[in-house]
Amino acid sequence: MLDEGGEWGHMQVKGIGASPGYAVGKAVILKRHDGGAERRRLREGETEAELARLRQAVERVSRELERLADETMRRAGEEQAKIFSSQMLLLQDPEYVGAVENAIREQGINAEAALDDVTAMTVEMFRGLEDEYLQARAADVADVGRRIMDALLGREDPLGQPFGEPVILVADDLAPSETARLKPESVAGFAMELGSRTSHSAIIARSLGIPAVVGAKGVLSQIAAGDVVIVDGRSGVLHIRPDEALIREYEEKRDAHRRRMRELEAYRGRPSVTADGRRVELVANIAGPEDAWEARKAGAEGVGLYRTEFLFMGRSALPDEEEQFNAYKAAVDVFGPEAPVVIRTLDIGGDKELPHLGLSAELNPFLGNRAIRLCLERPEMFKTQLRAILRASHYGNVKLMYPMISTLQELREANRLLEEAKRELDERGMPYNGAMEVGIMIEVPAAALMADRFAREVDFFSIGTNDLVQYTMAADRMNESVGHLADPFQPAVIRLIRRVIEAAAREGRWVGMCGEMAGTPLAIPLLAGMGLHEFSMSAGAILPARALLARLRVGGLAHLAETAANLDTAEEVAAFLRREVPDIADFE
Amino acid sequence: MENQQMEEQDKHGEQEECVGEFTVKNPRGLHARPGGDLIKLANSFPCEVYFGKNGKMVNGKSMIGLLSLGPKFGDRLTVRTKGERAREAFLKLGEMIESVLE
Repeated sequence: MLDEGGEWGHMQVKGIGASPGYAVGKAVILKRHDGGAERRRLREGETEAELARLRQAVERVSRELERLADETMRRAGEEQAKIFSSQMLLLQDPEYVGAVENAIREQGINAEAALDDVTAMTVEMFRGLEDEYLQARAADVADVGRRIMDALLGREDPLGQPFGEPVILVADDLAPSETARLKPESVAGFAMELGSRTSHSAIIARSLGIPAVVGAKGVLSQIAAGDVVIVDGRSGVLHIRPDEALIREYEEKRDAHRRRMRELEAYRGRPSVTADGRRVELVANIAGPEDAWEARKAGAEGVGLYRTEFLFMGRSALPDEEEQFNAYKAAVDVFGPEAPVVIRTLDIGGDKELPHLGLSAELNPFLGNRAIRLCLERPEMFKTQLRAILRASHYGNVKLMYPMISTLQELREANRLLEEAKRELDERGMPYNGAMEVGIMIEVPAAALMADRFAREVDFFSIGTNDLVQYTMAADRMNESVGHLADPFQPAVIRLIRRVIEAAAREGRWVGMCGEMAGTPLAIPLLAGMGLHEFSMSAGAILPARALLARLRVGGLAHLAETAANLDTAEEVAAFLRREVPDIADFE
Repeated sequence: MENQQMEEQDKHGEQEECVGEFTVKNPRGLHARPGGDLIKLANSFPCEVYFGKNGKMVNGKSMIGLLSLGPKFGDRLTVRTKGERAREAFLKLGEMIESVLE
């Protein structure tokens, strides 16, 4: 709670923004039937009748779930509908309904009591597990348990009646079947006391486009039915009983956000083309195969940076070739055989605690023995990774990328080991793509300055702006007091980027970028004007970037780089771009 | 199925039993949907099915059992089948555990 006004005054509660957007409406507090179930011992000979009563209730719930699955399929798609098929599995689960039957038989208690006991035990077990996802499964069990209880007692559905005007639904948490029974047009937003970004209510809210704040401790005690509530799904703040001015402010924000969402939605699944017909690639940075699904759903055309460090971290031994191969191929399988997947070899150094690598602590790990330097020192470890990547290349459009290259010797040495890795696979008769593209990251100023030479020996460059900025400006990007220096709009950085793209173009090589700059709207027109071909960014930045590119005419942007590279300061560059690019403010 | 080691026991002539390990290759692990499909498949066989991880074994026809193992990407999952059509069940379940498609 950030602010406590009078007893009935305006107040704010901070939770977790779980589904973006803004909503303003009157609160409806979800009341459920709870408790009240009678607990008793069964009389002699009553057991069979009690088991039959349980089976009837389970059948009724099973029919309800089937109907909900159908409805949800139509309204929200297959993904959400699957929630109900996994709930239906619970109804047949020997460890759940089976356990309730056993309790009736063996303990001689009525169905309600047996159901209560088994549900509570199972929910407890899931809550006790570490995995956040599995904790959310506790909600599934609690939900199914409540529905069976309602069926046993012949109770009505609390969400059965319509709300009238769109409301803010307030509850401790919503069970999946409850969220599915809501009509999105009658609910403006969610305010939940419990939950996380991965709880059911959060996932469904995102898929239905309903703004939601979850994990807002205290909302149930602070909100009365009929109170006006503002849901800010971006910042995670709930405004309870706000004044007129704040209501108007949020209504405007809400309408602007809706317009924008409608506009962006049109770009999903479309190619990334500028207004004058230049095709570019919008791809995602991922940190493991788990991210690949999310990225594809967000509209990515492939992977521009697959960070492989996750395979080496949080474990006691090096991952073997087989394990690495599976992890790389998994991302290829997600995107299909045509989509580009750029896999970066291990980029790790003395800043990470990795006992099995035996790295020594360094005074200055970012200038120390890391990434390609470390890999060249340990050829067996490096070749294991190279073989795994080569094997994955057989299944799709895999490209290999070396990080932190500073000299041509490093590149040649890495390529020599790559040739060895290929021979080793040949000896084992294992297939790989012999024409797999090989590129380097440009993140060390030395490599940017030598780009003309590198361009003769690689297939592509990918500019890693986070490190290129930090090394060019000699400013630690994690150190806030030098943050103004670690700015990609510094003219020195822009000159380097321009030089790299021009050097590559002279040799007919393509250039991508996988730093944060690639997804920054203000930088996109500048980079497109320079001729950058591939933009790799976090998944959420892809649709806005595609919408922005569709408005740009690359032919009219070439002058941006020329001017920007000749300005004096980063502030001047940013101000210049804001002046020159029409409507850029819509995207920032 | 490169990682499986299968042993078939045929002690009593008719009681088929298979035990082996498979690697979870779905990047999302065996949560929710992929796990649900696995349990449906297990339930379609008459034999007993068990899954295990790190020494813990659970009823392979129970979603609750499977979820309590929390099988994640890269984990090695033990499969044990016993009884009628045990060998067929073992192979089909292993194939699904090692598949990537949803």
